[in-house]
Amino acid sequence: MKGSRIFRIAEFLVLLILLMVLAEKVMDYFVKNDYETKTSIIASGTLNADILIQGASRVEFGLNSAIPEKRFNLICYNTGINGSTIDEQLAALKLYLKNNKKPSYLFLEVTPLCLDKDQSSFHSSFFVPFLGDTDIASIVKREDILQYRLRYIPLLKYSLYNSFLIRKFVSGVKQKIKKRHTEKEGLYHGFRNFMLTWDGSFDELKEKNPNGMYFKLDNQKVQSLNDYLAFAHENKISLILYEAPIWKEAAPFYKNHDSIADIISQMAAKYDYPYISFKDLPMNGTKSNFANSMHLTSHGADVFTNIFCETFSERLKKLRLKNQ
Amino acid sequence: MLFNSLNFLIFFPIVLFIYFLSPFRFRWFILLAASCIFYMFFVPVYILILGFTIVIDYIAGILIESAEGKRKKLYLIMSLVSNIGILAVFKYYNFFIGNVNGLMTLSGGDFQFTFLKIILPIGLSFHTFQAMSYTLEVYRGNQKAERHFGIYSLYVMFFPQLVAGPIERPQNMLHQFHTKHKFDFDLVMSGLNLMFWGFFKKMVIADRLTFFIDPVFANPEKYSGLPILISIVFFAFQIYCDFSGYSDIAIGAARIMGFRLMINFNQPFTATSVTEFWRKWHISLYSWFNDYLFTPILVSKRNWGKYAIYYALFITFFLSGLWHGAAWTYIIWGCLHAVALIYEVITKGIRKSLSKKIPTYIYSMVSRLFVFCFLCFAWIFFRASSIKNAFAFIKGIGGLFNPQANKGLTNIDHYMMLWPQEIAYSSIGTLNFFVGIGGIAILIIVEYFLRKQLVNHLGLSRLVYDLKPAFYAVALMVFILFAIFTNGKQFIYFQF
Repeated sequence: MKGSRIFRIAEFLVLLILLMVLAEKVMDYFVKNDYETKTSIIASGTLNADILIQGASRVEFGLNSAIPEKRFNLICYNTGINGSTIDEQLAALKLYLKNNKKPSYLFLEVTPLCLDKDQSSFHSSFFVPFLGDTDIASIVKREDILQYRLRYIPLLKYSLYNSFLIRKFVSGVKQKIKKRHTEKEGLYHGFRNFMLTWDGSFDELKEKNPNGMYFKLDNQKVQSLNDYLAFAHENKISLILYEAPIWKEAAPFYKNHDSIADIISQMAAKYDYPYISFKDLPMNGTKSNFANSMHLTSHGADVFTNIFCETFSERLKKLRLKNQ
Repeated sequence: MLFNSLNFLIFFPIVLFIYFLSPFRFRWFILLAASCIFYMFFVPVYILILGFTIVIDYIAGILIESAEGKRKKLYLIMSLVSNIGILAVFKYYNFFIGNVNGLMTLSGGDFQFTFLKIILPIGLSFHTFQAMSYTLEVYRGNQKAERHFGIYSLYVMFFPQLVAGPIERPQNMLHQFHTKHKFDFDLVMSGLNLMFWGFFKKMVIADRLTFFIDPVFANPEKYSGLPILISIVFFAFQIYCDFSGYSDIAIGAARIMGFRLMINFNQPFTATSVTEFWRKWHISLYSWFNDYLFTPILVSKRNWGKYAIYYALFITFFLSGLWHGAAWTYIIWGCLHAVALIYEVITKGIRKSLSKKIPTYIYSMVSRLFVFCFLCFAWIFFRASSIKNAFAFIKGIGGLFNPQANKGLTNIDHYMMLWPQEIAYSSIGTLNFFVGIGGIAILIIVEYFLRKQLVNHLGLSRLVYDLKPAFYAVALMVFILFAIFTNGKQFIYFQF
C-alpha cells in the first residue's frame, strides 16, 4: 500500500515537472513569436536599424519613425514603451544589441519626469521569455525580485502576469499559423499613431495645484540612467539624449524641472553625450500639438519629428552617405 | 494572512511540519501560536480584542456552568453583552452615529457626533459569533465548560476558520483539540484536494470576474444594459466562488491536520426555493441564526400562530443583513430575503399543488431560474456602495430593452468596449472574459458530477483513480497559467 502511494506521488511529480518544462518551452516559443510585442520584435533580430530611438510614451506616441526613414533613407525603429522606466530601456537595448547589429545612432528621450518617483514602472512581463539571459535577468532582479526568483521553477515565471502573457501566447500562435509577422495595427516601426486631442488633465492639475508642483527625484532612477549611459559608453554607442517637447506651461509649472534637467545634462556630459532639450520650441505653445502637458498628438508628433530631423540632419545625412 | 498569498504558501507547510513532529501535549500550543501569527498579519494590535473576548468567555463559561437560576442567566448576559458590545463599537458605532447625525441635520440641529477613526478588525463577526455559541451552549447544558485556557483560546482562534468561518460549535470542535490526530495520508490527500478546489474557485474564477464587476458597481450610472446584467450574474458567481473557495481552503487545511470542520456550502445555486437556498448557503451562519435566534423567537411567540414564523423570519433576516455590514444596503438585502421567505411560507400549498401538475424537471429548472434571478436582484443591494448606487444599477438594467443601446454590438470586441479601457486593453479583457466563463463552466460541470455521483454511476472509478496523478499534474499546470497571482485579493467575507 505504502509502495503504491509513493509510486503515485512520484508519478505525479515526474509528470508535473515534465509538463511544466514542456509548457514553459512552448510558451517561450510562441510569446517570442508574438510580433505585437516590442521586446519580441527586438529579439527577432530582424530590425538592424540605423537609428534606434528609446524612451517611454513620449517616444512611442511622439516620434514618427516613417519621417526620418523617408527623409534620409535610413532604417529607423522606435522602441518606445508607454510607461516604461530607464531600466526597461536598458533591458530593451541589451536585448536589441544581442540580436541586431549596433545602431549608428541611438536616441534616448529623458525628461525630468522620467526621474520622478511616482512615474512609470518596469514591465517585467515583456521580458519573461528572455529571463534565461543573465543580463536581462539581472535588470529584472533589480526591479521585480519575485519575477526574477520564479524563473528557477519551470513555468512559474509565466504565473505572475499570466493574463497578459497568455494573450501574447495566443497572438504568437495565431501569427505562426498565419505566417504573418507584422506589427500591431496602428504601429509603424514602433511608432504608435495615437489620434488624441487635448484631454484637459493639465488644466485640472493646475487648478488643484495653483502654486505648481515638484518632481520627486528618485535616486534609483538616477542610478538607472547612469547605468544606461555607462553601458552605452562601454559599447561605444553614438548616443544622443533629448528631452521631447512639453506644453509651454508645463516647465514653469514643475518648479524643479530645470534643476533636474541640469542633473541629466551633467550626467550625459560625464560620458561625453549631448543632451538636447526641445522644451522651448515654438510648437510647444500650440494646443493642437498636445494631448496633455507631456504628450504630443498625432499631428504634433509629425511636426516634432520634422524638427527632430532638421536638428540632426547633418549627422543623419552623413550617415546616409556612409551607408551608400 | 491571506490564504492566497505567498506568506501562507510558506507558513502552512511549516506549521504542518512542526505540528506532526511535535508530541501531542504541545500541539495545542503550536496551533495557537500559529493562529496568533496568522491573525497578526492583518492588524497586529487587534489580537488584543480577540484576547479580551477569549478571557471574558472563558471565565463566563466556567461561571455559567457552576451557577444556577438567575445568576447563571446573569453570567450569560454579561458574556453576550461584552461580545455584542465589541461588535457595536467596532462595527456599528459609526453607522449608528451617521444615522443620528443625519436625523439631527434633517431636524435642523447643528450638533454632530464624532465618528470613531478605527478599522474594523478582520473577521470580527465570525469569531464573535463562534465565541457566543460557546457560552450559549454551556448555558443550555449542551457543552461542558472548557477548563484548559489554551484549548479554549484555540477554539476561538483556530487559524483555518478564524477570519471567515465556518462558524463552528463547541460540541464539534472542542473535543477535537483534546484528541490526538495522527498523520493520515488519505485525509491529507483529501484536504489538499479540497484546498486546491478552493484556490481554483477563488483565484481563477472569483478574482477574474472582479474585473467586470468593480467598475460597473463603482459607477453604475455610466452603464446600461448588458454590462449591468453581466456584472450582477458574475457577482453571483464571484461571491459564491470567493466565499465557498475560502471555506474549502479552511476545511481542507483543517482536514490535513486531522480536524473536521462543518460544511458551509452545498451547491446553493441548485436550490429550487429561497428557503432551500438558505439550507445550502453559509450553512454555519444560518444554522447559528436558526439555533440561537429564529427558533427561540418562534418558541417565545408560539401563541401568535403562523405570524410567529413571519415575525421570526423578519427579525432573523433583518439581523442577518446587519451582521454582514453596518449599512442600509445590507439591511435591505436581508429584508428582501425575509420577504421572499415569508412569501414562500404563505404560498407553500399553492406551489406544492403546482409542482404536481408540471413535470418535475421543468418545475425544478424554472424554480432554480426564478431563485437565481431573485438572488441576483437582492445581491445588487449587497454589493452596491449605497442605496442610490443600487437604484442606479437597477435603472441600468432597463438598457437591455433599449435597441439603441445595443446597436453596433456585433462581436465580443464591441462588448469589451463597454467596459473601461484598462479592462478592454490589448484584448486581455476578452481573454479574461472567456477564462471567467470557462471557469464557471468547469464549476458547474464539477458540481454536477459530484451531485449526481457520475463517476460511480458511469463505472469510471477505476479509470479516475488511475488517472489521478496525471489529472492533478495537468490541473496544477492550468492553475499556474490561469490563476490571478498579482495583488492577492482579499476574500469578500473578511470585511464582515
